[in-house]
Amino acid sequence: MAERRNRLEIIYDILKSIQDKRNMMIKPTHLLYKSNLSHDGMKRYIDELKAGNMIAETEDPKTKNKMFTLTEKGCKFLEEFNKVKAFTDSFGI
Amino acid sequence: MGRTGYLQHQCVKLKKGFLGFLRRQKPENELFSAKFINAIRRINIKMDLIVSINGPMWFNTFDSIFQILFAVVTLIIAAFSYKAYKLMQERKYKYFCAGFFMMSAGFFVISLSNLLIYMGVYDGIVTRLGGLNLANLLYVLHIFLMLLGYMLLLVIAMRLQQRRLIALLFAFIILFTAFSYQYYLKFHVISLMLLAFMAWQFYDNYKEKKGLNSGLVFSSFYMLAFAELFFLAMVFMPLLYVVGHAMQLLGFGLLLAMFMRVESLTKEKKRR
Repeated sequence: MAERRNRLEIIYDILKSIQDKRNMMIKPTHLLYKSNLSHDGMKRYIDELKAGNMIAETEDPKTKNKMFTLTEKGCKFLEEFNKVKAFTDSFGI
Repeated sequence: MGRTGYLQHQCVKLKKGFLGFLRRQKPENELFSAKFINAIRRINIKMDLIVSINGPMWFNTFDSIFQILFAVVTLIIAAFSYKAYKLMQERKYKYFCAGFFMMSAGFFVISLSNLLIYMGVYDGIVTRLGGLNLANLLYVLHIFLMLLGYMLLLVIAMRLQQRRLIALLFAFIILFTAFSYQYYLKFHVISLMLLAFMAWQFYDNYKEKKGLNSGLVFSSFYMLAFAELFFLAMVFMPLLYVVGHAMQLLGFGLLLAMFMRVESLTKEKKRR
């Protein structure tokens, strides 16, 4: 069985799911599936990330659906996390 | 003749001169005691300095430059480890940072120690400080910092959890530093053991991850462990001191290459 994710890894998974999408925009339902969280759990994290200015709520111009998008700060966090992950994986710590 | 051989030669000359002086003196000569004591002090000072410097004469200063480079590389790794700690907020990254920082400090100290000898500053300092030998003090400090750094890295790399075991290992280092007599030999033997175990641990990580970065880390520590063998063999052939430094340069170069790959990682993703 896979190891339980810590808080930072969950945040990384959420932000990565958004980054991997076209135009870096994702529907809430898709984010729920990708993040592998319960609805309440995802809502808590989304609120935290919105408060931290890492993601923003927006509207799809064509369908007018609610979407989440990555901010500059969110992109920077992903960058730093990837570097640190690569560094720590090199040493296996 | 290597630097160690040169100083030993000077000591032999000094001793022969002293014995010749003794033979010429009559025991009732009132200046005999004062000259005797001064001669002994000069021999002791010269003998102590041998502990601090090694290798062929032409390698003077180059070893200090190499050590400064190693100090800079380890400092860079320590700084990035601290960045990892700030992001992840896990103590192991803080100790990892401390390990590399100790190594960096150790390299700076030995580099300073050697430079002070090469620039001829030491003679004056030793005279002013009387019995206290700054050269040996810095050398012992270098040994303590390096071993402490290696220990911290080993504890983190091997994921040692038992506090008593960690405390025991640190106690051994402190005891060795405080109560050793053949510093050079014992330091390099212990360093070889610690680095070999670290290289082994990083090899297991490389087998698991199969990435170039983990391969670079394993190769780096393998080179550093190998360098210790050459430092030990230096006793038979001073030129091996140079080879040891070259291996260390290669080892830290590989570590720096790994770091630069990690830093350039995001830039590659952006370009895509």
